[in-house]
Amino acid sequence: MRSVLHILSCVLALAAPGSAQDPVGVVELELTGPVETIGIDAGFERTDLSLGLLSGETRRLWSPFLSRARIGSGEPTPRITDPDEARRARVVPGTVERPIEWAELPVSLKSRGLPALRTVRPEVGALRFAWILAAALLVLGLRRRPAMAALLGVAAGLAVTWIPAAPVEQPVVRVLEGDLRSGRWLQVRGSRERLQLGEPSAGWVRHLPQAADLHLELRESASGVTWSICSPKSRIYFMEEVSIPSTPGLQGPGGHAFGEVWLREPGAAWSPRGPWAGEERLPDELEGAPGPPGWLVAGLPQGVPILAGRLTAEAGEETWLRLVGFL
Amino acid sequence: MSPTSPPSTAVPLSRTAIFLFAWVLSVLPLTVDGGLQAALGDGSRLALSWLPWIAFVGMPGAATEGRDWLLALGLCVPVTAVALWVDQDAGLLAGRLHATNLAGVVALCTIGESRYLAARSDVPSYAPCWFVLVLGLPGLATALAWGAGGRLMEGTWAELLASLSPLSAMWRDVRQVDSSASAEFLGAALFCPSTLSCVVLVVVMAVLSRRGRAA
Repeated sequence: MRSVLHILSCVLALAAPGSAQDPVGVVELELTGPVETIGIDAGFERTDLSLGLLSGETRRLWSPFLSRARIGSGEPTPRITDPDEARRARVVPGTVERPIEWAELPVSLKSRGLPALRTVRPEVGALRFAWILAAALLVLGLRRRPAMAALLGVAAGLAVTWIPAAPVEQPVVRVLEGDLRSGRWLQVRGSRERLQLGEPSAGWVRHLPQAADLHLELRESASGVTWSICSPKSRIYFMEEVSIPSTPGLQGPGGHAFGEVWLREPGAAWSPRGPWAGEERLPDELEGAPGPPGWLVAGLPQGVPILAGRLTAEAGEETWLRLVGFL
Repeated sequence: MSPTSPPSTAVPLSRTAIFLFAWVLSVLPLTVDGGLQAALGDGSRLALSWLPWIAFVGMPGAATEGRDWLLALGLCVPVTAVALWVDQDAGLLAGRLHATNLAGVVALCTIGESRYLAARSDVPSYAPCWFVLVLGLPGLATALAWGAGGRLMEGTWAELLASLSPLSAMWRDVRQVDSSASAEFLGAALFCPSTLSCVVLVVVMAVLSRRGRAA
């Protein structure tokens, strides 16, 4: 009976979908052009990278790769998948960097709610407005034949989706997750459809819905190498451990100015404190000011002082902070 | 006129004017006005576009010979198609959006057909039925929620009553844009209380219409 249960649990473990967070590692590649795209196989998941390296160019660059953690799996070295690509690209030995196991992070960092993503809608545009106006006039013209009018309207509705539109750039939300008891910080960045990031770094990626296709893109431009996590019609989050210095004597994050902060002391409700320059004493409670957004305080531990805040806006990115064990 | 024969008369001007008004209201959530867009927030533009059609398509009034709701369908589909595209490109769940669309089409067709059947045979009970289903239930639920400071609705009989109205159901879809509730599935849209109440309305009107004509 025990062996049956053991086999059953193994089968269920193998059949289970990937963990909530998929680790992203980085590896140094040596490339000789022409290289348009290459695939990296890290044992469980293939990563496709768009490079666009010209003929004769030789380059060494750090590249991210995706591996989907499975129970009982080892950690194979990433390799170039296609034999043709393998002649032009190779993994530099001893350069593989992976994040630590997600389970090793403090519970207070792991259990927090994901940030809410703002929705930016595409503009309907003059062409689409003209189309629906023309369709309405034609449908009204068929007032004596309602069935024909309905058919025309349905046809116009199907055709309107074919009108091309410029892609919409979705905003990036950044959250700094701090746990002063362990001194560890996690940076979470999130966006819809495509999350553009700077230098490749190891971390964890999460995308919702999880069944959606996920791939990484690496691009080189005059400003350097950037990479993106892409997943159509999904919310994408990238989490990485970062080092943030504390303000001396205050144990808060140094060098940050806040547009708005809230403090929750053990056994008390959230207390709004308004703007805070970061270096000085925390301001007194602001009577009548609004509380923190619901998603910001979801999943935070009880019984410890917590500081939550919105940092003053940087270009095109809103940044929030959640700090457990403040003061 | 039998239900299968093509309508021979035009949709009356009064009805056309109502549909034009609904068209203007359904286009408003898609306009580029920054203040309006900020006020609407993350709400589903698709559900907002459906609201005026559900409210106006069955409005009692002048008797019509043909199925004038077909004209309303022809006017609303291009607008809701654009609203669907806007919501989908903004990253709203596709399953939920298709369910909203399906619920909107079913509500428009069933309420419109109920009105046609009732007008054809002068069924007097249509107007109160329409008023209770489309306007009365959401109005009652809103009044109760307002009176109770917004705390009465969840899990109460008032919420159950409101869920019978297609207008309430569509209004709920405006706000539940990112929820992974069962309305992601088309089946849930077809068998939700508001859709079933619309189907019951059309069946009742068909029966009453047949009796009226037989008499």
